[in-house]
Amino acid sequence: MVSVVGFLFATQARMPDHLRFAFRILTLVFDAWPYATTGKPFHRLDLPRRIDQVERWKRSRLAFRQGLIAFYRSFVIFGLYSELSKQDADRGMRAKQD
Amino acid sequence: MVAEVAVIGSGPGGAVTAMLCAEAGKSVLLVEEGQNLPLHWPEHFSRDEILHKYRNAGVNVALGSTQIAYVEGCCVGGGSEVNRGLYYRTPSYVLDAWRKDFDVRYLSSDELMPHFTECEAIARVEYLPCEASAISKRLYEGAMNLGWHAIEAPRLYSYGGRGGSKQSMSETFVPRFLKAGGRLIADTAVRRLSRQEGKWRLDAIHTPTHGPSQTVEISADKVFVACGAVQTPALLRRSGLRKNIGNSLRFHPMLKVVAEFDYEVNDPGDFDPVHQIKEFEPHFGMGCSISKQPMLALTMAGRPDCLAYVEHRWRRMGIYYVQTTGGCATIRNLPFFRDPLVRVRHSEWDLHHYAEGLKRLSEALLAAGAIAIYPAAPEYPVLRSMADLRKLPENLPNGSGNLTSVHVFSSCPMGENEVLCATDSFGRVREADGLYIADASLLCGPTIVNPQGTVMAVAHRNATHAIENRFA
Repeated sequence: MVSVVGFLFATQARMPDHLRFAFRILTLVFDAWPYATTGKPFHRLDLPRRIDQVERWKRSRLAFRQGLIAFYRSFVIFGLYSELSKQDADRGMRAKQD
Repeated sequence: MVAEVAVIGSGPGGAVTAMLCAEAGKSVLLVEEGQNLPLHWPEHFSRDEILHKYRNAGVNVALGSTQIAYVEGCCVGGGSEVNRGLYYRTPSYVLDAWRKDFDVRYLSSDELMPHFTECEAIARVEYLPCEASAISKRLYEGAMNLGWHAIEAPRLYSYGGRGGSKQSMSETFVPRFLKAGGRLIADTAVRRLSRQEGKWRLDAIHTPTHGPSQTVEISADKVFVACGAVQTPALLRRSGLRKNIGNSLRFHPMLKVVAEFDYEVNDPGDFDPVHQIKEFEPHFGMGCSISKQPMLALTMAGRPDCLAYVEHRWRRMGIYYVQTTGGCATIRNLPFFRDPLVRVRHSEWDLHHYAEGLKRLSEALLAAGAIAIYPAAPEYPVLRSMADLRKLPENLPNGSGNLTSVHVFSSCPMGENEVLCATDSFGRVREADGLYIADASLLCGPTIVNPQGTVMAVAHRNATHAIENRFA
């Protein structure tokens, strides 16, 4: 059983190597993006500013920005709902046993 | 390692070929890049299955102005382990076109029929013995309400026993191959083929789950390459074989929608959906997808404002798709990278049929009683009425990022037409003595229907031909 973050890392580690290379660079660019305006990388921003940056990249006209967000969004959503769905199934199983 | 015959890849093409060669008394080594895992672990269509049984964790993209995300199996049994196993024999009009355009000899329906029958005797093909799921029946009823032709598709599935069992390669052809004395080596990726002193040398890397990687050298008189329609041309091109190889990869691109009904249709205990609409084939067909909650969420991922509905209303929702034949791609290796680059282009005709297919699918679902249709393509609005459908564009907007495909083929077509074909009519690679292709790469174009039956029958035909002619 892997966590959502673990699933994301595992997916990234297995993706085609040329795409993985591009995504790693893009992810670093994404993290460094707010540095010029806030003095902090993305992972040190507070939640509202993080959401704001994700929204800006999602709506960007640049395809690579949209693509990066779409990739992470899709796999986080799939990973998260897999976990929720499994928890539901486990709860259902326990209720039946009780 | 030494063998008379080496088969690279254990999917439907490779497993059938390996079994026939082993049962003909040959010393056969079946080499598989992925792991050798039980059919029922990890759980089907789960996150863990994607990580353990799909190539590149399911992240494969044919790049282009309109991309196609595609998936391939990567484990013993290949794609047959991870697909739903919907089964068809090749339509005769498809075979007729292949004979005409690619000059494939001895490939009429009558000539292929014994090979279908032989394969179906080993991997059982059955219809549901009970009522289909509500999700499945909704599509059928929508088609009936419109007077469209729709059917229930059989599956490579044995419904006997508790829950039944999918007739994947690891459950059918691979065990028979092993029983006939064949040797299977999993976790082993062949990187290059070369010809040395009248034999084929395979340079491979064995990477067990626990333990260090090691290089492996395999020597064989004959080699069948069955790594799938993307990896087969990549391997051949890395090995210096390029004529008509990797220039014509085709897909069955799908556009998906989530349909919401005002009553429950989605029961996790149901059998997989089986109904399909055939009214518009060969241009496009329609069907139902696995609609577990994570799949629904993934299909809705482009609509964050609607995503919350999945959590609360998922039992009223099902995933449906329209499947077309558009897109043609090239496969090229990149220096310093292991994985090949796949680039796809679409014609205006393709873009029109994607849009037309989406409209027709939505029409069927509205006729089935859907109260809302959420296309996976976020540039499309939520559809609630026929009036909404009339406002949809004539062509799929260029750049739409929501085409997916679970079928890839035709990257090394067979036939006597030397301008188009990579092999002869029986899968022998030209100008490479004792080298064969034995997977979906050989198909000359889209099968329109699910292609696994065709891949198995063509592999059976070609391996039988090779054995009967003593590989001459």
